[in-house]
Amino acid sequence: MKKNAKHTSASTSGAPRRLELFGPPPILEGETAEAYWELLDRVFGALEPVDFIDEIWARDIVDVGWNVHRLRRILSAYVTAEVRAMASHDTSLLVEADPELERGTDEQRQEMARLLNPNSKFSWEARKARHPSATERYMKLWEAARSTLDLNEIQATVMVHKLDTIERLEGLIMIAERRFDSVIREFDRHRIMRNLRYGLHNAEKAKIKTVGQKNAN
Amino acid sequence: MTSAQKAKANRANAQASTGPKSARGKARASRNARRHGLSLAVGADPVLSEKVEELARAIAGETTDVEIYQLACRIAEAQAQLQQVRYRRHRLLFQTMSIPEYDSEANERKKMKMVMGCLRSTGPFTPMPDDVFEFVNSWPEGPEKFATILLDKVHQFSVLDRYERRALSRRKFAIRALDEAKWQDRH
Repeated sequence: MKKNAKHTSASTSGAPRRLELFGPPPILEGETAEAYWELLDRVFGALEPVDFIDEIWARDIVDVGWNVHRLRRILSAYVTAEVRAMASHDTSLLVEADPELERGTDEQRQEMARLLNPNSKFSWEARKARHPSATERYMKLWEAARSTLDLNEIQATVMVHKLDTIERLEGLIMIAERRFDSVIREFDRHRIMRNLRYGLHNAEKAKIKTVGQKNAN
Repeated sequence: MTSAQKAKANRANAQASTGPKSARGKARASRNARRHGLSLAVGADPVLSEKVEELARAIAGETTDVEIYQLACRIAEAQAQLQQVRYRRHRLLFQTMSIPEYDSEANERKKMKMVMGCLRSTGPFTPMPDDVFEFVNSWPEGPEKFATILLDKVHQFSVLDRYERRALSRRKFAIRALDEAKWQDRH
């Protein structure tokens, strides 16, 4: 199964065709198919499905697990991006309030004013390219202001401001995790039932053998 | 206790609200369940029926027991429906993710409002201020885009989730029934 999982479309042997019965892998833009197949490979390797029902559960574990990872990754990336944006905004406010910005010659002050002009017809990137010395001075102040920020405080503010989105994503993660747990539980139940069945079958066979031997004696 | 007069009025009111009256309304209402086809029986779709048969054969294995095969069919039907729901959800996500200029409805409205405000104040021939132009031409990307889609399409996702839950439940009980039947078979 482990090797076959990687060749679902190319191979014509029994096992890969069975994998194709479950439909295409749920891969989205930005996700790699190799990572999905590796996860599938590992799960199938660890669970070693014996019958087709086992294979159904194993594929479910992979798909639902993939979704849980995806949602967790999205939540983490979303919070990181929001924290970064807020930190950048706060830093800009600190720099603009810094008296150091007003220092220097008249020419330097004018250049800085042109760089920071919010009504300029040029974009920020264009203004940066037009005023390199003012940009350099501004970036130094920006770095200094950035180091004074408390990231924990910013994270807390982001949590409060974006609580609705974060909570909804958490809700989706919770649903997916519950589904994952339920699949594992059912997989275990199916295995226990099968093992009991085979255990009983083997015990019966051993009993018949013993009785047969006794009769022969 | 409801009076006879009140009960009569209730019955008359109920008669007045029993769905569409016009032929057009009736025709529209008759297609209510066909928006996505997920509530249709598997047998109604020939492609799906073929897949169910293939799945049922794989589940039942080489058995000749009719009961086991029927239970395998039940599992296969639930599995096929589950795959269909998951495929729909994946397609919805995939298609929305591939729209490069996708934004939430709230943000689209905000952008439109800003553009209209600029048009009203400065007229159509004056360029928009930089910040307005940047905002109007900015779209969520990466995780923000994904989160926006998930939150924007929450209704569609919850409908699909309901169908998935049902299919999962049907499959779970069908598998339990199959295990039970095999257990009984041993005794």
